[in-house]
Amino acid sequence: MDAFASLAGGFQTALSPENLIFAFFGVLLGTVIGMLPGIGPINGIAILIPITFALDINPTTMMILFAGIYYGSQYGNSISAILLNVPGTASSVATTLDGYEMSKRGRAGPALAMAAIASFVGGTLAIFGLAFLAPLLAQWAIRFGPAEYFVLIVFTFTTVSALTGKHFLKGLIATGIGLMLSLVGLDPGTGAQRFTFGLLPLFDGIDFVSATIGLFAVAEVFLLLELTKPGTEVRAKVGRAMISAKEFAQSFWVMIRSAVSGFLVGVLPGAGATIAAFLAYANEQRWAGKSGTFGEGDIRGVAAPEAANNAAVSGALIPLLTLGVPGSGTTAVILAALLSLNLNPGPLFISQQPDLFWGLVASMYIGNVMLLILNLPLIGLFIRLLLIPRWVLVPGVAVIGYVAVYSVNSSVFDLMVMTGLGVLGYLMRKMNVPVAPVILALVLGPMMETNLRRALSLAQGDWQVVFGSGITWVLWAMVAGSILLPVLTRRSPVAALGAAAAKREDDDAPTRSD
Amino acid sequence: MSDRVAAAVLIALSLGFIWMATNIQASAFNDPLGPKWVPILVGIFLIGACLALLVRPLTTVNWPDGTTWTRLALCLAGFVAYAYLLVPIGFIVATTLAYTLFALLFRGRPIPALIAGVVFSVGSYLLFSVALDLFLPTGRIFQGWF
Repeated sequence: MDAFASLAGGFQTALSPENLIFAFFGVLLGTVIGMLPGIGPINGIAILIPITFALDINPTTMMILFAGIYYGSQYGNSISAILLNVPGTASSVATTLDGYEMSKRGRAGPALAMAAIASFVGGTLAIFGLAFLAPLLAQWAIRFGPAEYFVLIVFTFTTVSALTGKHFLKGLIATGIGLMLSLVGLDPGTGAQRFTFGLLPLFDGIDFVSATIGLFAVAEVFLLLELTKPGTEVRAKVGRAMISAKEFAQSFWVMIRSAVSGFLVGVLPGAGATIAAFLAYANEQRWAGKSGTFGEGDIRGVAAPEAANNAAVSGALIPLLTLGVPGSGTTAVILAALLSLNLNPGPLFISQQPDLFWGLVASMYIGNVMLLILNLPLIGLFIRLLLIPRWVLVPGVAVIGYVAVYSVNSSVFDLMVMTGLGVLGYLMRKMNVPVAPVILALVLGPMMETNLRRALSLAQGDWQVVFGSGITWVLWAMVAGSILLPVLTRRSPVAALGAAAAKREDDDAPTRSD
Repeated sequence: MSDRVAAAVLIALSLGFIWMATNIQASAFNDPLGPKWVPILVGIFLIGACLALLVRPLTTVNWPDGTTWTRLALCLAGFVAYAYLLVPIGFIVATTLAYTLFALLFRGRPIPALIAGVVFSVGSYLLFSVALDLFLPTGRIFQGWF
């Protein structure tokens, strides 16, 4: 079959020494970033963007590196979830429920091993989905014109607003703030100055690296400063990271089911790894019924969310690569990086850049094997990193963020934008306003406007063009659904997943460490 | 209360945003919408959402206490000072100072904080500037020394 031939070609790309090194570097960094509270994949990728540009590495290698960080972080976040009850990123909040219980009962070793194996199963199964579903979706999306793109982006905004955070209304406000920020700069259509206040550095708009590091990393520094508790300690004795054959057999179908559901949830905009993990946990809890000891250290309660959140990450790459419309903060940052290299992901992307797509897919298989090795025999090395005190770690993250932002344009102005948005991000997180929609709107805002204006100019100003095709009607119905569901149920779908879900924050934001 | 204040501030900002948008000058050839209308619509959208929040606030916020505000303000001042000192005194000295300040705010002890600051700033300079070839300022005051 065609896909297999393409995949073979992909392995040729992925096995080049340079790509292997960057894949390894990516998954290693991803594990560390995912494990340490306060960084998260979105910051890791934003910080590396200027560095990859400076090194002038090719786009395929860059994507291999970024994807490695993204899925690698889903391995790492379970380590701190299990050992410290502190998820490295929000997507492993569900893992804390049984993972931490297990480590309190002296079973940290099996819990870590289960997390690594489930992550591997979820990750690798989802790559099949990515390899086969992405080309199909791309073929379908070829019929998308500017009007369809406009409505698709509106749909992304409404679902992300509804699904990220606790209140739909606050998600919408975050989207509005992001859209405002995206409008700063020279208008791409006419060259008119908009909201630049005559300041030269604003002509190019607000740089997404400064915005991401400000809203996520700097805001996180402020938030961590509020916590007076000294650094956390690793109390649990880990023992050997291994599970028995019985435990594996017990969790086998759990992992398969969770991987499938996690992958499908991941494809949807806004839902992402956190919701995938909670959904899988809730499903398996119901499936196990009375035979389960969920919440009291059931190993299936570790297998389900870890398989699901890894699968969701691969799913999230599908709308990014086939439509060019990412559904989360992290994938939005990856899109912005690709756009800066003049690569435009969309329906033709896979056929125009087969080396990139298939090389990426193949590298993800290789990367997952590397992660399994890093996370099983070498887990002891990573655990030591959790001993770094906060007063060493947080200033380090702040300084590296500074270097990254400064190196984009060598501009002090960018540093001030970053700091200002750090204050905004702090206030937003304090007030339960999700931050991820701001980044998404900042990246997708110009695309939404361009497509709307193009559609209207093709239709000589006739507004009905946004309802002009069957696809637009389907998309508008989806927009209506994403608005009506949270309004009618009076609570967000996230809250509906249970009390445990109330602990979650943005998918992309690093979690608070208390 | 915090929700209401934030909503009111955002409404005021949106009104200013819309007013600025109406003043955007551009000839619109074959562009029925022009550069004005999307900003205006975004402003109206945000005003609508904020009015809903103003009418029905959603959460109460636990704001930090006085001493924490002081530490937050010091941290913010550190970020601003770091940005403005970077070019005049150079990356290594500015980073040492900023790192040490942040480490102290996170309750590190003074001497270890300073040592970590020196190690980290020299180490990151070697990594980013020498190994990865990113441009980092050496400092105006050191000009002619190297």
